[in-house]
Amino acid sequence: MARNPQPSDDEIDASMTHICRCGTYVRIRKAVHRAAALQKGGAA
Amino acid sequence: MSATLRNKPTAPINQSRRRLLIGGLTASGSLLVGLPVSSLLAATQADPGKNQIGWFVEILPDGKVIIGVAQPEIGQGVRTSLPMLVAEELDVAWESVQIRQMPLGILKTADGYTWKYGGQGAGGSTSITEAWPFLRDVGASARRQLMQAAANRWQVSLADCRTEPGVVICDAKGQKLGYAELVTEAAALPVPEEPAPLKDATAFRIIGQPKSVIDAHAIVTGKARYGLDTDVSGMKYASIERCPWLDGNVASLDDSAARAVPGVLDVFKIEGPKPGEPYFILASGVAVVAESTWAAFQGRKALRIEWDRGPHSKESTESFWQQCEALLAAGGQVVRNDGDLDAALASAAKVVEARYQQPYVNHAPLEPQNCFAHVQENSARIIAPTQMPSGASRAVNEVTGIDREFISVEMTRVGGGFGRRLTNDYVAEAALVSRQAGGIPVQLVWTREDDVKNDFYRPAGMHELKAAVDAQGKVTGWTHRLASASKYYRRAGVEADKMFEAELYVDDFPAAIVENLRIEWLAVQSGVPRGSWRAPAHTANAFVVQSFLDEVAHASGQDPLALRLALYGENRELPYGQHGGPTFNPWRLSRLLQHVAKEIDYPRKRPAGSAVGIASHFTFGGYAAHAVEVTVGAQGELSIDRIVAAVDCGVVVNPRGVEAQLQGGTIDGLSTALNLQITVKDGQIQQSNFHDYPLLRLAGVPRKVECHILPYGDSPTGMGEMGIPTLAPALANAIFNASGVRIRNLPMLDQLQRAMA
Repeated sequence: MARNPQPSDDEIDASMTHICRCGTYVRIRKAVHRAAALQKGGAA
Repeated sequence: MSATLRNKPTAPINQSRRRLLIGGLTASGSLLVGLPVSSLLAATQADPGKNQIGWFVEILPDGKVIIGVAQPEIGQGVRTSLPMLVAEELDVAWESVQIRQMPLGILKTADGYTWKYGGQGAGGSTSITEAWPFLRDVGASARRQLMQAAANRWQVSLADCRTEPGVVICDAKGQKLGYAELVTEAAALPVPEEPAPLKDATAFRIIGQPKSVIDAHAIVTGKARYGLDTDVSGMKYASIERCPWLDGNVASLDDSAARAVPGVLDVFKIEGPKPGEPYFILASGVAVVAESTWAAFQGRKALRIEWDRGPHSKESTESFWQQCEALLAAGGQVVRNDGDLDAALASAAKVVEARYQQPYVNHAPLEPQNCFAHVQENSARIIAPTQMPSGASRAVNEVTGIDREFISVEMTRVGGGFGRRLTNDYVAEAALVSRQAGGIPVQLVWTREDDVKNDFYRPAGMHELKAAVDAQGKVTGWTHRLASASKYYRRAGVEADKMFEAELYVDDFPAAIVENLRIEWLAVQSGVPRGSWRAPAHTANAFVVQSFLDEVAHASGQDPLALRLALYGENRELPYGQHGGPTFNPWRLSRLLQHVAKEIDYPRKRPAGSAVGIASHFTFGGYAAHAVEVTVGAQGELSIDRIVAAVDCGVVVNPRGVEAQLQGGTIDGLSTALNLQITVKDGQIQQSNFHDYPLLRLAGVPRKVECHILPYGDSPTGMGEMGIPTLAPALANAIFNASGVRIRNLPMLDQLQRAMA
């Protein structure tokens, strides 16, 4: 996110390649978008 | 697994136990034999301190509340949800709560052992269900003690006092005192016999509110302690090179090169169970003890071992399915027989028949098995990620002979349980290694390869279903014949005619709904070890039953949703004698199905190639349904466009936790159905790591996964396992509706592409 502060879903898919065994991927995606919004200075 | 195996207290709670658990140290003499309490202790203090009310509640001078958690945390969120029950009835602000993990607590009695802190264990999705009366009682009783202490000070009666979070108030006298000022007196007061009153649900401030994981910050900053994080000063490390052939053994060993590896301290054989004997550990092999895990792994690589290939060296996945087909060609053990199935089949307007296959699968917890053990002459200290701490204590006793009174078990967080850590074989291994290496503190570590190749896998099986449908579309007959490798294999105390109980729950839908019904089981012989895997038997049976229901619907020209609603019928309780009973209300499945159908706009006709599939199932007391929307391309490319999941787990304690389990179960079901299987060739497990056991990654998850919670009634059921069984059949049904291709054998892999090529 330092290099790509507003990633798209496709970009998130391509770079978040770790395994989450508890299946929290949906919330990880949401968290990345939230981090992008926070970084931009908008509402969380 | 059955909740009854855990020997938990059931409401109403025996009064002497209440006094013990809530009122403090002293137990009634008739219950217990004297014992060195300190010997049972690990990290925390021996007796409740002066700021503690019983074992579970400590109130610090600054008003912070420490609530003890007696259950193992395996990622199901009990470290958050169980303290919510205590905090609610204790009446404290959630923000003031911290938690402390309690170790195993057992006490010696005249004729065995009993629980010190109540039952402890994570299995069968029972923690919340069993804690609901117990921990609320703990909180309410502690609150009453605090109120009584204040009442005594103010010289008023208990009835004149009330609480606001953290404070006792007497309006008549205009007095208030914080819990911190009262706790020492409160802890010393006698505990009344009658239970403290519980809050009405309308007064809940905490239960039912979404709470984030209480130690989320510790987890994401690396401070949370999992088994692998255990670091005891002076401890060594060990790893075991296990025989790669099922039930094989070491024929000859040359350890000279291994001993020469820098850091290696010791090498010795580990003797596993003989073929057919109960699994106290999974396999025979050679242990390497070293200064570091790296040195231990390098030592293993330098071992020169000739293996005895054992009695299963000809077993393969192909031979397993051939055995299933041969068994299904003949009659099996009839485990349920209602009405006259043969007559129903003979007089049917339509008979529908299909076979399904479920493979072995691995638990694949992200934290491989590991355990710290320090076995000395007459005592042992165990630090382990385990789902059954009492089983851990028993396992150490069995392999060392040390009295359980002197075996302490501390529970770390568990990096994924899924049923793997119900069995404490890795604890037994660590104890054996510690003793054999000279009674040293040692951490036994499994590699990922060890974990994939050595497991109590989910049982594999071949299912044959047949249904009779009359001219009106009513299902008049149903038979389910299953040839499988029972998970009770080599479990002590299970008779041959009871092995089916692990594989088929005879009161599962459509029993008691379809009048003429026969359930049959056939025992498949396999050298592969089997055990409980998240929602045991339910993932397999929900897949086949819910897929077959759709096949019956299509064959008889009915809509799959309408057929289910007709079968599930009215709001009523049917008997359910297996785990999750005592009753099952199929109407609660209808309610969920109608909800997901509405959310996904089930009646809307999708363009060619796109369609919706549904499924619903009752698992261990909870109800769940999935609706999945897919698009199948011309070459069989599968796009999962949307998943709508719904659960009814009774009363919701932590909605954020329930949602997490529903999402997690959905992803687990998807990952397993799409890509996962464990195969056998020449008596060896073929897979070894995540390149050939490819767990789903983020890119494989649909963009739209929606979770809905529909509460019901006045008590909670569990949630750890309810979300997984219905995903796979809903997906298979959607794929059929979109493409005409019926997938009956899991995992799906590239079957869709090959079918449409």
